Amino acid sequence: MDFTLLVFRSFSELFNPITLIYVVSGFLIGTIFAAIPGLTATLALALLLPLTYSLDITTALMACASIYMAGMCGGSITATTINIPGAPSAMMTALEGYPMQQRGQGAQALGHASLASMIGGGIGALLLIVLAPFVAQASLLVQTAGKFSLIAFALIVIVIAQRGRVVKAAMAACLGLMLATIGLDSMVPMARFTFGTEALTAGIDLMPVIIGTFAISELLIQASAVAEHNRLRREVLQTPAIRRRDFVPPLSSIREIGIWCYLKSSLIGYAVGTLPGAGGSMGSFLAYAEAVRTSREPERFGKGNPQGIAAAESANNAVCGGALVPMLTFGIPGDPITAIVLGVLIINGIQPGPQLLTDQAGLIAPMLASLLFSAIVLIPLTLFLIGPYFIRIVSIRKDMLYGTIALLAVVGSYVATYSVYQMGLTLALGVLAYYLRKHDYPVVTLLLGFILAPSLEEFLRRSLALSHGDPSIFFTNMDSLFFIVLTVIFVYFLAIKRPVQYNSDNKSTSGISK
Amino acid sequence: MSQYKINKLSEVAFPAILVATSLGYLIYSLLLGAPISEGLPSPLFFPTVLGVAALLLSTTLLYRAILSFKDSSLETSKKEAATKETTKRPALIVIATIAYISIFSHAGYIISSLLYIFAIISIFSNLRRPLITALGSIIITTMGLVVFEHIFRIRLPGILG
Repeated sequence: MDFTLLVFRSFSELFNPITLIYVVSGFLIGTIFAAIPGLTATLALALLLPLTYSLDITTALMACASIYMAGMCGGSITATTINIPGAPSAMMTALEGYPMQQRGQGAQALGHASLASMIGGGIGALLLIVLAPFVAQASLLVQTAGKFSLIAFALIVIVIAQRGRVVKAAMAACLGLMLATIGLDSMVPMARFTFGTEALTAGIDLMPVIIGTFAISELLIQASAVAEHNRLRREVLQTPAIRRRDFVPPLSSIREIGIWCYLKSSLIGYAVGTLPGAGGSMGSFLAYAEAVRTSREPERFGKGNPQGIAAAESANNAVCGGALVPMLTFGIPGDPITAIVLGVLIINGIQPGPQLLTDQAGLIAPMLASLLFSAIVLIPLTLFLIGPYFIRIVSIRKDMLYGTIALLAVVGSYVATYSVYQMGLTLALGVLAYYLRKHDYPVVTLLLGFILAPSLEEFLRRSLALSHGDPSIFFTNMDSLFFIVLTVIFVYFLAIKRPVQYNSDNKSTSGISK
Repeated sequence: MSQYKINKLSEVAFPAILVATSLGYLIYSLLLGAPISEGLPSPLFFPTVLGVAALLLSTTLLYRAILSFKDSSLETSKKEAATKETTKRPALIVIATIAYISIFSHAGYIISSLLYIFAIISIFSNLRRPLITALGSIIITTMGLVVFEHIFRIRLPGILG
């Protein structure tokens, strides 16, 4: 209750004009990046990460929260107007939004998306504010062996969530883990994989990994796809203008969707968000599927049904609240954005854990206030004020845009330690990430492997030291056994059991895969 | 060897590099010392386990790539030929970035960034409209200077370092 009150008192931080400017700017930047196909809010956050060095930690976290919320909402713009989701989480929105656009109801579709994002984001943020302290208290019960099993569970779930490329995801995770072992060992003063070079003794910093993985590799990927941008720009310039008054969805339409759809989808999104590796796209997909399943007229879906937009957007914005739970309480990021937010904490010498919500609650509470503010105020305000110009965002000249991104990325990697070596490292990691992406390896598992490696190794070695080298500690310790059983359950349902498929008579067929 | 075969070989090369990297990592970790010391895991225990896991995974990927190399049809050859063109721009960006990093401290932020951004924009625009590209470079460099030095108060290298 104290924490909840602290969060609401933290709204006063937003009365500081400088803080408000950063929060609003972060929201606009996140929206722009999410709206442009090929760019993501993750990229925006990666580029802005070096700048957080010179910001007050509270302001930096508040800006991150607003970028996060904007990123989930912004993808619906191009998803609706030109049938290209700006973010993976907007794929289901495109299914319903684009047919509405084709009927001349594009503005209404965007209005529905914003309303649902506002509701879902608000519910997700509120649930986070209310439940996080309890989760933090529960996390104190997890002991050393249990912490190892929890982190291993998170990593395994992140890997197996990459359906169709699990082995590649596991390999990328291994590469991330391997990169993290370079440098001095944290428990014994021994240099590992430094090859006698002083520069590697300090290990590889998180900054070049994030910037290289997301910014540099994206630059290289986009350089391979220039023709696609030109086609996109021509399409955008042909899209008719949108009027502000058309954004407000009719009350009858909202009533038809029903409050229960918004609530249920938000809860689904929040729950999915707490799972490592799940992300907005899984949340929106599950909520959409549930909306179809429980609808009295399922045949209306896929043809411009506002209920589909409401379900998808409520869920993907509620994910924001859920994903911050494991990050704040255990230091386990659920997706790339929370991984970068974790980076902001680490850079400022703050360790995530239960103490974050007690001893350092004053640092975190404003971030949660910003998350709620972004959902309830900034989403509708941004739509109404600059909504008619949204689609023009996509027509920004790509050559100028990528020139700017290149500058921010390379110089950004310099500012952390004023080291040209870091710039070179960023480029090298960017090239690695580029080749991984070209060959369909998910780089998110590389980043999460890199981030989780130190804790994974520390808890493994400490557990084995406590048990005098006996590995059965992971099975005899109850909290560790719990997470191992959870891992087995998730592996079964996500990797082994074949997903339910429907034949032409709408009857399901399912079975165990070979 | 036909262009088709060369392009398919490149799909095998990447997992082969991963196998070599994993093997190198495992061997180096074993050379650094024993993974178990006095019955307890040493600092090399985790890297050794990791090396084994990475070797198994990369070998699996290489095996699949080789199988795919043997089974693939000629219909993929057109798509493969196009990849040669799409790797030229990324390679130019890497070269430009290496050059930028090399001169950044010596030539200073302004000069090096002007040249770098001009190069990046030119690569993306295929050298069309050089005047607009130059103007864009000046604007972006100036915006960067304002953002880094004046808003976020980050010291950037001046002329001659």
